[in-house]
Amino acid sequence: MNLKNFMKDLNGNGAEGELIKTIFVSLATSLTLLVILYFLGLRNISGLIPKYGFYLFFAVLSYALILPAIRHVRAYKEFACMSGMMIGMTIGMIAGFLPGFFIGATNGMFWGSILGMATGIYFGIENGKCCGVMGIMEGIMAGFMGGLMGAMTAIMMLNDNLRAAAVVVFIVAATILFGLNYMIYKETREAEMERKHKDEELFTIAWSFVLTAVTTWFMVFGPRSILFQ
Amino acid sequence: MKANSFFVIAVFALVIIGGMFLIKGEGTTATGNVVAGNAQVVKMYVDGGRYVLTPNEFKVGVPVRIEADISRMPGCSKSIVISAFGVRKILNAGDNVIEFTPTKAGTFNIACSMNMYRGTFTVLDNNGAKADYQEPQAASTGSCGGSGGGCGGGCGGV
Repeated sequence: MNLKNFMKDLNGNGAEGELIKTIFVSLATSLTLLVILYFLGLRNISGLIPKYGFYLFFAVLSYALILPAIRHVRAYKEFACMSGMMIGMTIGMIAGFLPGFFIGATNGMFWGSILGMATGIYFGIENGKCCGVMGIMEGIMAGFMGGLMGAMTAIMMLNDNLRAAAVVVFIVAATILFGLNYMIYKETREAEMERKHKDEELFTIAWSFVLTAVTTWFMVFGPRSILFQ
Repeated sequence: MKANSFFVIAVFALVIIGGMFLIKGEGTTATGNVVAGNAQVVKMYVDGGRYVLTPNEFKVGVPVRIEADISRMPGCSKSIVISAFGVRKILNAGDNVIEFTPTKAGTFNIACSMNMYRGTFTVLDNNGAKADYQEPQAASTGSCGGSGGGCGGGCGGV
C-alpha cells in the first residue's frame, strides 16, 4: 500500500488504472471543443488568445485533474467519516479555487467567486456524500471558501505576477489531488474495499465538455466587473 | 507498450500542443508607460479613500502624464487600473509616473486593482467641451478605501 504500489497500480486494471486515461479523455475533449469553438467563430474575437488563452488552458488542465479524482471517489462510493470529510473538503476546495481563480483573473472577483463557489459546492457535495452529512457539510464549506478565495487571490495578484501565480497555484493543486488519489488508494486497500461503481468515459467527456464550455463562455462573453470592461 | 504508457505520452503531447496554441503573452495590454511628448502633467494622491487628480480634466488625444505622490498613497492604492485606456501599473518611489493617451471623451474611472480606492477624471472632446459619456461605476466591493488603511493586510486576509 505504499506509494510505489500506487504508482504500479496506475498501470493496472482497477479504478487507479483509469486515472491517467481519464486525464487524457478530459484533456482531449476540452481541447477538441476549444478548437471547434475557435474555428466556429472565436477566432474573430480580437485578442482572444493573448487575453484568455493562458487562463483557458490552465482551466482545462485543472478540470483534467479534478475529474479523475471525482471518478476515483465514485468508484468506491462509501468511505469512513474521516476519509470522506477529507475527500469532500479537498475536492470542494480545489474545484472551487481553480475555476474561481481563472475566471476571477478574466472576469473579476464577483463572477469568479460565483462560478468558483457553484463548481466547488456542487462537487464538494457530490463527493462528500460518500460518508454522509459530515462530508456534505465539509464539501459545501470548502467549495464556498475555495470559490471566494480563488477569485480573491486572482484579483489581489492582478498587477503582481498573476500568470506566474496561476502556474504555482495549479502545481500545488495538482500535488494535492495526487495526494488525494493516493489517500483513496491507501484507504481502500487497508479496508479491503471492493470497487462498487464504474463510470463510462461519457461521464468524463460530458463533464469536461460542460465545464470547458461554461468557462469559455464566461471568459469570452460573460459578465465582468468594471476592472475588466 | 502498455496502454497507460500511451496515455501518459498522449497527455504530455496534448499539454504541449495545447500550451503552444493557447499560451501567448498579453501583447496588447498597456502597462501605463507610453512615451509622451507634450504631455498634460497631472498630480495625483489619495485622500479619504479616493484618488485626487489635479487637474481633473484632460484633452482627448493629448498624452497624459500622471505623477503620483507615493507618500500619500497607502497600501494597494499604488496598484492603479484605468481600464478604459488599458492602464495597469504598480507605482513605487522609483517609478511614480503613469503615461497614457486618452482616445475618447467622457468621464472615466481610476481605481486600485481591487477596486477599493476609486476616483474619476474627465476627458474633454476636441472642442474642449464635456462629453455625455460616463463610464459605469462598479458596485462597492469593500471598505478598505474608506479608512485609508492598507488593503493588502486588512481586506485580503480570509
